[in-house]
Amino acid sequence: MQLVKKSLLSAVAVACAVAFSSSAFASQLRSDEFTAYKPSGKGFGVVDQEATEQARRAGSVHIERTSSNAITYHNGPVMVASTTNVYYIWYGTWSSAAKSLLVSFMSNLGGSPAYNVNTSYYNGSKQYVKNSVTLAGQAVDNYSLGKSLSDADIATIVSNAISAGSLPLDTNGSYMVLTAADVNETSGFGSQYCGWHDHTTISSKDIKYAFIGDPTTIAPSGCGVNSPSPNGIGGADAMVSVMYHELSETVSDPDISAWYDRSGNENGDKCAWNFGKTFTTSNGASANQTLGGKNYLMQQMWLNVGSGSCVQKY
Amino acid sequence: MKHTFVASLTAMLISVGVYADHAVGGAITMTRYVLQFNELEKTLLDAQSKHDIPTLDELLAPAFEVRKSSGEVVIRKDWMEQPVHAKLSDVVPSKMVVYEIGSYAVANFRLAKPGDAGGVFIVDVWVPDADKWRLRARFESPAQ
Repeated sequence: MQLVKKSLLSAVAVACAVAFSSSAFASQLRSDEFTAYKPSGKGFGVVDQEATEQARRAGSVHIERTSSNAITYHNGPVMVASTTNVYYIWYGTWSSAAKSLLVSFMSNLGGSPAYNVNTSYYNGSKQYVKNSVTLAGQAVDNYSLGKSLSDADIATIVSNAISAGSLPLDTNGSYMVLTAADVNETSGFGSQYCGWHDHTTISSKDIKYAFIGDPTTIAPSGCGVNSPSPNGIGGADAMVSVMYHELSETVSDPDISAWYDRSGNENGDKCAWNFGKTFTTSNGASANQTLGGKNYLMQQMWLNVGSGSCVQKY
Repeated sequence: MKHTFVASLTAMLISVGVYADHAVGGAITMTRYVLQFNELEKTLLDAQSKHDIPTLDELLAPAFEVRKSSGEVVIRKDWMEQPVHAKLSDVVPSKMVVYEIGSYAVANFRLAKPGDAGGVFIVDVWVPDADKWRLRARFESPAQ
């Protein structure tokens, strides 16, 4: 019996060796020092064929490759208006305490040293993101599409809120679909991501939107529900950092065509779950920012100055 | 009973994993677990390739075992001693998905050389042990 087992192991060992030997990978896609990536939406970069070919044709060090960790501009639009409008869509049942906290957060984010990090991003005309955010509207959606949502459903929820007149059609807006703790987003909420941003066309306009779910039920550890949390509302406190992440990426890379690095990481991705120095609040929680008198634990953000770095403020 | 549970868990995870692969078209905030277990898997892979027994011993739970789609079971001691690990040095995990199931973390991902469409599909069950994670079981099948 032992001999059979050893023989089997040997066979598997040989099979594994073959599977992972270089000859078995002879047909793999060409990947070299010129290969460039862009965000895939799946947590890893996908090859940006155009940028890769440009780099190969140049045949030498491209300006974007001077620092492998640098975030670079890919010619797409950036949100540079005097203020960025944020719209909340409360999907499902929310406590007044959680709503109050997230309203306070967004109402005080603009003008803060934290959000000022985003002013280091600009468009092709050297127009910069402004340190101003306006919570310009809110709508409520009482589970119109159920408790199991697809990516397409998130866009539909935004579209429905606009078509119903609950929210305006605003190309300078970021529509945030905030789902309650009993709602799942089936493309990977909690197992791959805690939130995401994207853009779509509604009434012939380019509309930016994001999904951020209350992770209390599905991924309390993976999406940062702490106990204690700065404001005693674990789910909402956790969402704050993800909302900051998504909004920062939305203004600097609204159409997934502006600012990201060679691995496809946007400004928020490069510092995800990196909080920097923290302090302890009166209830024993960790926090690193104070906005409008409330404490929050927010990830750091990539500062696009010099070779760049993750910072709490600018 | 134990085998039934393992089979059910595997079936569930694979079905969910396939579904989860239809991810969004925009840009995501990865979960902390995806980042954390991506690093843990890389550490494990590095220890395998270097035949770093002390690190493997730390990362693998005492009852660790590998179950393959062929039905073969490789126990901890045999897996640690496999002589093919140096061939894994440039293989990387991708398409990482991590489920929180109680205090356990279940990671599934593809293991292959960058740019290769093949490799193996893996489901790892990690269990908390004091302040660290240890790998309890691995389910392995060829990636399509």
